[in-house]
Amino acid sequence: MISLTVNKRSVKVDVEPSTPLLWILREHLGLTGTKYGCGVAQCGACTVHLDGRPVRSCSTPVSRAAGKEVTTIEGLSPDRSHPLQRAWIEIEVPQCGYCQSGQIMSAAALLEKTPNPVDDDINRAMSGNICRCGTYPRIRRAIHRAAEMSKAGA
Amino acid sequence: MTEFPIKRRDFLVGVGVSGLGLVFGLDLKPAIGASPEIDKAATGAGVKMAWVRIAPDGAITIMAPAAEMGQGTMTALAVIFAEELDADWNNVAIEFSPSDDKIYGNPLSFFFGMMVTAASTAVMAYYKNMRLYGAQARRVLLDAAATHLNVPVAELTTEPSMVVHTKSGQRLSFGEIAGFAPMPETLPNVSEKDLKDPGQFRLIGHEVPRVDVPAKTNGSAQYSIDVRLPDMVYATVVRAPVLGATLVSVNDSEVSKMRDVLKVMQLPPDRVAVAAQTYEAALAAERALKISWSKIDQSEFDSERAMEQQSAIARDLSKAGVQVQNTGNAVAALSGAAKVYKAEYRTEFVYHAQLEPLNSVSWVKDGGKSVEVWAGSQTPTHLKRSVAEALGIDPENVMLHRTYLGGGFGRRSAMDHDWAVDSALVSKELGQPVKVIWSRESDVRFGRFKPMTAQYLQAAEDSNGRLIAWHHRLVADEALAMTDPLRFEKGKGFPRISTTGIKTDYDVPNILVEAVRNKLGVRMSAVRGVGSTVNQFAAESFVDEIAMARGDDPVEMRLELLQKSSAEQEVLRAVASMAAWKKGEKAGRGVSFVTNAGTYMATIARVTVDHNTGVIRVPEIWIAADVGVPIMPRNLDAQLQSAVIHSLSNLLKERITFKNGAVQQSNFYDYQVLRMSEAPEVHTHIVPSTRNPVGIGDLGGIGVGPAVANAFFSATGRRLRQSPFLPERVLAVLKT
Repeated sequence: MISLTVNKRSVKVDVEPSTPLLWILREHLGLTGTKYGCGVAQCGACTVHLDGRPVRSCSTPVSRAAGKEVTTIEGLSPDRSHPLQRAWIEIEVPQCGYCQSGQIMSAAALLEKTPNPVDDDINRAMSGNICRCGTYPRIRRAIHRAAEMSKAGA
Repeated sequence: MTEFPIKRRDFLVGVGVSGLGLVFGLDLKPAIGASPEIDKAATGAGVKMAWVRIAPDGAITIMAPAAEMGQGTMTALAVIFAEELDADWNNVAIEFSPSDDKIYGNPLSFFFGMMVTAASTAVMAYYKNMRLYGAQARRVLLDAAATHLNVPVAELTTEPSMVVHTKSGQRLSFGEIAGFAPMPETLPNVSEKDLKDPGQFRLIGHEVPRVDVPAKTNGSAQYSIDVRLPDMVYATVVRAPVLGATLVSVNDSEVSKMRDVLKVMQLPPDRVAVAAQTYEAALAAERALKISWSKIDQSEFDSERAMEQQSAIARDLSKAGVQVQNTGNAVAALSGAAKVYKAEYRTEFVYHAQLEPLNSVSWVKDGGKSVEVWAGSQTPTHLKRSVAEALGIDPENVMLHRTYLGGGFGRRSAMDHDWAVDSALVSKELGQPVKVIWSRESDVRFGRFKPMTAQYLQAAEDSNGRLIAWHHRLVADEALAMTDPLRFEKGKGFPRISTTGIKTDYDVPNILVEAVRNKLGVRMSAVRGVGSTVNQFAAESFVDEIAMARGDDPVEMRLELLQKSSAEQEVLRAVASMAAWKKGEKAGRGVSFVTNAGTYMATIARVTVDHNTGVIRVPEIWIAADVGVPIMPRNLDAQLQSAVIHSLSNLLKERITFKNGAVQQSNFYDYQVLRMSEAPEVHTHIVPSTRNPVGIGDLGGIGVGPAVANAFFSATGRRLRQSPFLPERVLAVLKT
């Protein structure tokens, strides 16, 4: 049995310790907002927070999450109103949308550390997340917008 | 400009979400008979037509015939319908339509009545019909209101979701009318004269938000990979790496003993499936498979060698191709010309790399007689036919739940739906619901690629320096032959995908554009931009080569060649003005002008080249487009930006290569795509137009390749004639 906290809920799972956290979240717990894209930490679609730090859940064994707090897109805000989520809607970032949970989780970790990022900060923090539709310019704009919203306390 | 509030509630997309994240579908039955039709049984319970339901509470549900894979047509088509219905957009919800060609088939002739979402055609194809159906639904409401109020229908008008009798001041909401509407025996006739004057549009051309966006910011948007059913198990499927090779042996008894593995199944002739209690167990088992496949002629296929062969065919003018465009006598004009230009261009295989790996969920029921399938397909009726064929049942007994597509780009359009048939076959075998997810490695290795091309171009000038001949020879395999044999056959074998966008609009008296099909025996597909991307890379690079050789400004030379079309000239002028293009500039910037199916685009790219590493960077791209009447301007901007970036990724980084008949790449570490740090700033401009709308989502990037190639020449004085522009290729050309 491995115990961890997912979106502030305690969870116990009986699986091989090496099982990627991704599959625990998606298929065992039904938190399907976190996506499978490559399985080898190359695309970022599976990004979640582990004790507040962004990790690629496809390459994180569940044992590494034991006793820790996992936050997924479903737990990013209680009512889906995180500044990034609002900015994403305002700027209409998503296209196919498949990568966007991972994009938002990477961006959220960036804003935690760097509340007023410049483009270089954004490029560095976000280049592990592939968007095949090519929404990068809008992602960049939306991160700036979310930073503004947070600063304004909105 | 009207701004609409963002709606908080999630939009239904034909799947409902309940309890523990379990998803059950609702495949609406199409209305009876020809479209649009009324369900008479439902009188009093709201208006129900093939394209719309209006409930007594005022909720208006519009059917989306097209797949939603990021291009936004799920919203755009409903906007067009709602415009003519005169619906209040705040009352509108959108649902994926049932999968039925008779009602929802793509009206463009070359889709032969089938439901196909591809090649930037959805808005163009459905525009007129969606307007007429919307107007017809409005007329049903007006007639019912006229009877109810006992006034002539001609005295009634509409406001958003409201019928108004101005004389008496009486008002009836659409919902109220839906509550009592007696259904007419036959639907009222409407024609184009019943449509709104475009000047009256409240929705078309205004900023209506895409309905799929909110759910895509919080993880609730449902893709087929997210579907979970009671007692569902998982499977992965491995295919013969060489197309046509067959299964010889597999270590199935060994692998089936692994933890949580249920069964290793041989699916002749060329597949092995592993079913397991969990996906991680299925994946682990996939990796433990030792399979031997038959050796066939195709096992010798080598893409590098094939490129040399294609190149030889392209240059061998004795092998005539299928004529795509032929005016005057280009061959004769070339042979007697004062000056002839020649160049060859090459492009390699490209992979879709849609971020949601191929997957599907199937639940075979009634002892194999029926099946429910959850999948995101660009051709949903093909899916039903193919799954039915694989199970030996009638397509009527395939109930398809359409979901969002985590990227399509053509990969989810092929008729055979190999990725959906997989789950159906495994579910039939196990008698349980099964989710099949291809690993990324399978998605790459068993991908279907944009065919490689070799293209040989010639152009001739007369003694006055006038361009008098244009000859473009394309050598490529034809993706449609594999991706949709039905359409290929109905189209009499015309190479429709490879020749897309190859015609020239330039005013040259003698033109020959021809295509030679060279069968390669590999998996192929339409890929975003289809043939246009590679054909225009060649054609518009070549135009630039001519301009540079003549010492002409590339914008001015094109303007001159487009003298017969002011609309086409307009996009060039627009982009030149946006980018502050200077005549004769040598600032590392290049231009292109492209057309495809009525879409005109001009693109300017700025590049910088690192002479030590060979890395090309593209900090800025300007693009002006004329797409007819814009439906959703903000989405148009988004589609242009994204198509530009997708195309740039193809151009700079991407290629699939084959050795011994098999794909050599396997995941994003050896098939790299463009990332945030490499993404240019993209400036877009939509040239105002009153033409009927044409397409953009697929096509927006087709001018990028030549614009970047021409910018590279401007920066370095060297030509890149083979994509992708890999650093080693750049270094090699810089040394020449």
